[in-house]
Amino acid sequence: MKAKTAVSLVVIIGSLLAISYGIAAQATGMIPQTDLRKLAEFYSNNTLNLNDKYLWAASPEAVTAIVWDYRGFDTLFETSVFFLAIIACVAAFEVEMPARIKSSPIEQRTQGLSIIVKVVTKIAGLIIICVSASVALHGQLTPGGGFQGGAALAVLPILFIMAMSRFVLEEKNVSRNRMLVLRSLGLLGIGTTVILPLIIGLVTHNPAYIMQNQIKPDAPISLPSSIFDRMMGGSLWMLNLSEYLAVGAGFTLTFILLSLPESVFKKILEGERYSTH
Amino acid sequence: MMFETIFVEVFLALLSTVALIFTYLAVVQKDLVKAIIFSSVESASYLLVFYLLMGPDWALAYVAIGIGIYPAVAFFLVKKTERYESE
Repeated sequence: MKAKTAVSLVVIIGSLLAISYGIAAQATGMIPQTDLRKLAEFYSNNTLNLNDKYLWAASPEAVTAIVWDYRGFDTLFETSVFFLAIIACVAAFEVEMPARIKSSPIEQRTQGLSIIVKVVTKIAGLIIICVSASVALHGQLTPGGGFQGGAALAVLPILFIMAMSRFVLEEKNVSRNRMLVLRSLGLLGIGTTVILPLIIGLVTHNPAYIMQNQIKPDAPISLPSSIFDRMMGGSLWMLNLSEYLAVGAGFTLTFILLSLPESVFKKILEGERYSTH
Repeated sequence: MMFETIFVEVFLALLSTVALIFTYLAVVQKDLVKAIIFSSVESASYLLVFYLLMGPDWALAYVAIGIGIYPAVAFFLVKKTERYESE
């Protein structure tokens, strides 16, 4: 046991020293790098270029512009992979949900952790909703976006499940089916935004691309780049909003399913055993 | 400017070392709840590393996933199995 610990310590310290030597000898270049690479230069010159709008994304946030516009299909397929995983989770937990238990106010007070934790959770919950919404809905202006906002929102049901109980969530109408509906609405929103330019093109008899955001030389269609003097980034805002809904609801769904008590599964497994014989 | 760069580099080195130490602790810890907490401390220091390396978008995703969602999923897992790792 001692020899094992010594070997692992030597390996850790050895690799630490090797990496530090590499960085100190500037094998990786200066960190953080101070000058732009060619690719970064292209994006920073074009994302919000008001003089030459043929390659712009109408957003001051280059990362969001890359994620949802320049490299939009990447993100689209990433999203589909993520939601396939969530669908797999729903399929694996395809059990009848236990009946909602309406607990009396006294029971609610005694369930879960202490009242201090519950009150703090409620205050934090409000803050989490505000922060996640601002991260997602300002995604075209400041760092952040739909996925980040949705993931931040999904922390809220976890806190509620841990501090109170999963039944409190259901009493607040956060149930499996509702989350499935919200998640599907989000995905529908993404799908609609992706084919929206094509629909506009069909109506106005103009050529258009799938997932087009702003005007291109051979496709004179663009989604609104600003509303009431606020930068919206065309499709970026809509995609962020849809992704926010879909990711938040998708994660919440998995947590609702994961927090099912073991006794529910045991009952179902026993039922299966009896039904096969 | 020079001073700032050195400051950032020293801070990066410190944070990476903290992350490494907590990774080691998470691996050797037998109490899985403590291991999860160590692992999320590691996530927290990597979060700051992302921020210092000018990746605020990454940091925002990481703060929710590394400190909120991943430990929660692991806690559910521990709750459904055993708390202590056996030899």
